[in-house]
Amino acid sequence: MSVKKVKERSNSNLKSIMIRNKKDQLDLLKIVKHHLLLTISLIMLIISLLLIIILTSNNLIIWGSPNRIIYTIFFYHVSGAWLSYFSFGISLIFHILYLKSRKNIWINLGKNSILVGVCFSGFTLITGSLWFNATSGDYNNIFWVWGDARQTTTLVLFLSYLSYLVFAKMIEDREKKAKLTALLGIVLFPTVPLSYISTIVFTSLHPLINPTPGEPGNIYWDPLKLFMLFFNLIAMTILFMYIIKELTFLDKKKDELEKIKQIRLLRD
Amino acid sequence: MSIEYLDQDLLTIIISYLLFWAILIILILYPKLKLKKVLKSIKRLENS
Repeated sequence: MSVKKVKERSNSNLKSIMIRNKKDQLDLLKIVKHHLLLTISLIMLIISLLLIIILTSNNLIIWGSPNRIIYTIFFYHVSGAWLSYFSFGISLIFHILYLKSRKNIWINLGKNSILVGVCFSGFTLITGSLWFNATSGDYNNIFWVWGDARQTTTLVLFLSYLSYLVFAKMIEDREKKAKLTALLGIVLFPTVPLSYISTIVFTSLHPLINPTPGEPGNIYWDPLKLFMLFFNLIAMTILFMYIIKELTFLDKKKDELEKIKQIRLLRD
Repeated sequence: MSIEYLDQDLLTIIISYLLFWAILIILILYPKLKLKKVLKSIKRLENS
């Protein structure tokens, strides 16, 4: 083979590799663009996790005396609680919109918000009881106190919305299901403010969000902690939007599948 | 950093953080995997 031919072949190989690389880059860009919300939120959550680890291991976050590492549970516990309240609040709006317009998209959005809310209210309950056992219980296996208003009302909230999901699965007729679940979603909403105000109105060991900065035992109003908390909350809210979007798209495709199946049944 | 209960505190934190990430991963992956299944069924029905 002549040198010229070898050169030409190597040049064409190089060109095809470059084109493939460019295509791969474009594909990657497409994936990132399509999952922009997911990418942003995951990057933020990873940064927040690294910050928590670095700042806690270097003693840069102080939680009072004694300065125990267990208090870092605060960032995820509060984020989970926020996301569950937010999801249930948003689901109320979606359910009202469904009753007004009778468009299926609203009921799907409402149901998916509740699904995310139930997952995170369950997470909040678990981390809350772990935190309770570590601090108030001194690791004596005291995870639950029925007399504690916040724990009990949050359990009521969790079970109420869990029953919504079970109820939605039980009804076959689509229109009836949408109407009844929309009503249920609205009726159940008062459990959200009840859980939130339970620490103010009833007796609870749950710390109050104290608006006076600098008070002893006040773990909230440190600018660094607040920054990290809000950073987490923003990341979680963005992630919520992504998950809802994906779940609703899935519902749309499920509806399509159902329609095709019905058409086939009628034809056969 | 207080060293009283340090091991138990660390274990509790690790359990909580792992649980958090597990929920996130399930919520991210569930619609994707389910969608693949639904799209496959749609394709199969359209082709047959």
